[in-house]
Amino acid sequence: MDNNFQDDELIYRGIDKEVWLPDKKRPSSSAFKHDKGVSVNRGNFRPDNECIADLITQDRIFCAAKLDVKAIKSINVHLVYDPIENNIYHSELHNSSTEIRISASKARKLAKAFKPIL
Amino acid sequence: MAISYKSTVLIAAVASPIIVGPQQDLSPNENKKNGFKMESVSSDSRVSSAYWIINKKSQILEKLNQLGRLKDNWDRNHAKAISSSIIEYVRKLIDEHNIICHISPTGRGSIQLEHEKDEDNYIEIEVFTNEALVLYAKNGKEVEKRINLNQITDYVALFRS
Repeated sequence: MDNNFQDDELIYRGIDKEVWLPDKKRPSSSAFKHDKGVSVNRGNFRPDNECIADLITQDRIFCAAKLDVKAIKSINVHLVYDPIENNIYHSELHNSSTEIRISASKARKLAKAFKPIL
Repeated sequence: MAISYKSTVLIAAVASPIIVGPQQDLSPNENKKNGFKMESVSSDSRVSSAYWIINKKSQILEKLNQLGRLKDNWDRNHAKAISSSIIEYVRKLIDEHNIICHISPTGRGSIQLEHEKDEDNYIEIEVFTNEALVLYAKNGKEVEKRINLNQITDYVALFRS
């Protein structure tokens, strides 16, 4: 894996119970507001159950949600491959190639586009 | 004898026209004014609506207490804890303006208040210590801006529209 993402690769995000909107059945845009980049895992074309296994082991996580790279690019959100210790799939969502903090408008679009896996 | 908070709200609700909150539809006799539905309703409906507001506000304020207990790194991704000044500011805002909305923490130490009427009409206010970020849409036209905390009350009506 490298910094290149294919358009049909899926990206996964763990959704904390505090940012879940039960009446809308989707995450709040607050799930995509972070100063240090929004942590996600790249799928690398693995099956869903394998991709979300690491995410839902945390007790705070309500569910996982996924979105393909093409859709993320269409929102003009910048995807960065950032492997860390114990997670070679770790990546981050940034507002652009030069700005980390995602705008409110883009965060809302991400919240509506990411598909929850319930 | 002391009058409880709930009694005060109920008395006020029965004695005056109701500003109908989200998901309320009490009467077909609508008179839209300033984005609010001013309606003529029975005392029973007013009491029912007042109870609805009290219960919703109680749930929101309880969640606010929970958010106040979040520690640094609560999301295991270096999220900041929410400062007590933000918690108290949001508590006062919700209490004084009877705001019924969804509240949630962000990873950057702020609290977000949001309400969505439909795809084209919504508001999100992200409250920081000294400022707020507002995103709202009216009839599909979206606006995003940074404001001072003393300007937030200008947007409160959008939570009821």
